[in-house]
Amino acid sequence: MLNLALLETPGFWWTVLNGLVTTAALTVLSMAFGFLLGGALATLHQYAGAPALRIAAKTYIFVFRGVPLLILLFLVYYGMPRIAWLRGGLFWDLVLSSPFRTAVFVLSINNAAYLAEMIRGGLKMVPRGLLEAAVALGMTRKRAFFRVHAPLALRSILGNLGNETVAVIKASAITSVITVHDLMGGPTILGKIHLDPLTPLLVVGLIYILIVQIIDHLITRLQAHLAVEGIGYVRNL
Amino acid sequence: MLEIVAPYLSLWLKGAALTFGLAAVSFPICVAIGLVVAFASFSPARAISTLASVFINVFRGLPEIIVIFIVFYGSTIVLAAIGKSVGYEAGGVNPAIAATFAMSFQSGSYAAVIFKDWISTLPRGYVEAGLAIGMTRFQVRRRIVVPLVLQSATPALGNLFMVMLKISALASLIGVQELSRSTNIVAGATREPLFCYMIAAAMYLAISAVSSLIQHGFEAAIERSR
Repeated sequence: MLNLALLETPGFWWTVLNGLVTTAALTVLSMAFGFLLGGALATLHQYAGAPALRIAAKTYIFVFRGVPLLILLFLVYYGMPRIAWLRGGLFWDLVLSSPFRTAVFVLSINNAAYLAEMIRGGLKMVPRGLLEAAVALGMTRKRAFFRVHAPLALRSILGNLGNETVAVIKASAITSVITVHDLMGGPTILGKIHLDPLTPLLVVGLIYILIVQIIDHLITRLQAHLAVEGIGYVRNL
Repeated sequence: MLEIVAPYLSLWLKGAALTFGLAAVSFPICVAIGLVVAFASFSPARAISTLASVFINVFRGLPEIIVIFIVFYGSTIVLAAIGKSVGYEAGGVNPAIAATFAMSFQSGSYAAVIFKDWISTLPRGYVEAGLAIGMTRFQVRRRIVVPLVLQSATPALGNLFMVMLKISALASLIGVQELSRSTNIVAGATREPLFCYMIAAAMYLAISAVSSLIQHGFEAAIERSR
């Protein structure tokens, strides 16, 4: 039934380790880019003066939350290279020329839509009085934002950010369909070569479960560490 | 470009219907699993509550794509082994059924987390009142806890349904001919992948929009019934 010989194949664990690094890189990069883009979207959605900008931000969030990641990956990886004038341009060199960078791009623009909603919620949660107090103390608006508003908002969405990181780790497994050799992609290809599709799935499945447990644990510790009396953080669902 | 893809429209619409169908069939199963697991996690028997939290943590940690593959390959292998022992040649597992199972179980764990949170916010008095007038524990759950929890969890369950619609795209990878798979076919046949995937994206958005309208209808009805 289960063919455990695969686990002793030379190179199997090496592939797993390589995949782990790729998954970590995908997650960290797309969280970072997603956070920047998501922050910008949240600010536009919440504070932009021009209605057109607000509508644009809302539309972005609606579209990228509604379309499955798989379709987005196919659209960018198989569809975009068909646009003639993109070939040889900057976008081609930076993104489309490698499956890994395409995956980072797609995960980031997808992730940004979810992060935008979270960041918006976090920014709204900070009591007005605190911000007014900061301004009353003579802080400039910019300084009040970076010293008071942003840190408090960030603290209140910490649990959600943890959940989002978990979601991105899990979603990054889908990038294996555009030949990214991440934790899912590398070992399963090896499994197919050895006519044993199930064993690598079970092995990497266990590793994913372990990683998610570790992240959950770390976030809970961090939340407890950063908890401030009187200002609750959002309980993660 | 529209005339190139027009002949494939019926294939596409069938795919879209199957996408909606996969989510719609898995959803009630996932709610049932979620309720059972949520109640199990409050069980005084240590073994049962541990089992419930293991279930939740396993499916929370596993990527959806892996669950779908494991259920598909795993059930094929297991069925073949069972078939062999009784001398019956088992054919392959129907991928649509495997995908339905995989989605139900995984989303069941998400639903369990939602229900757990809402059950823990229910005032103790409700359950105690039920017990005081002579209801059994099961009756209390069926007549008091479940209706209240389902009502308060409607928005979260609506979001879960949207998530399931998107997860169902992964069923295409094991050969279920839903919206993503039919798009792959059309994209291959017409050699217009960009246009085809954009149409697919629009169809997913349309399905989500319709579902969210239904969800709003539900929420409004619940609001009125209060």
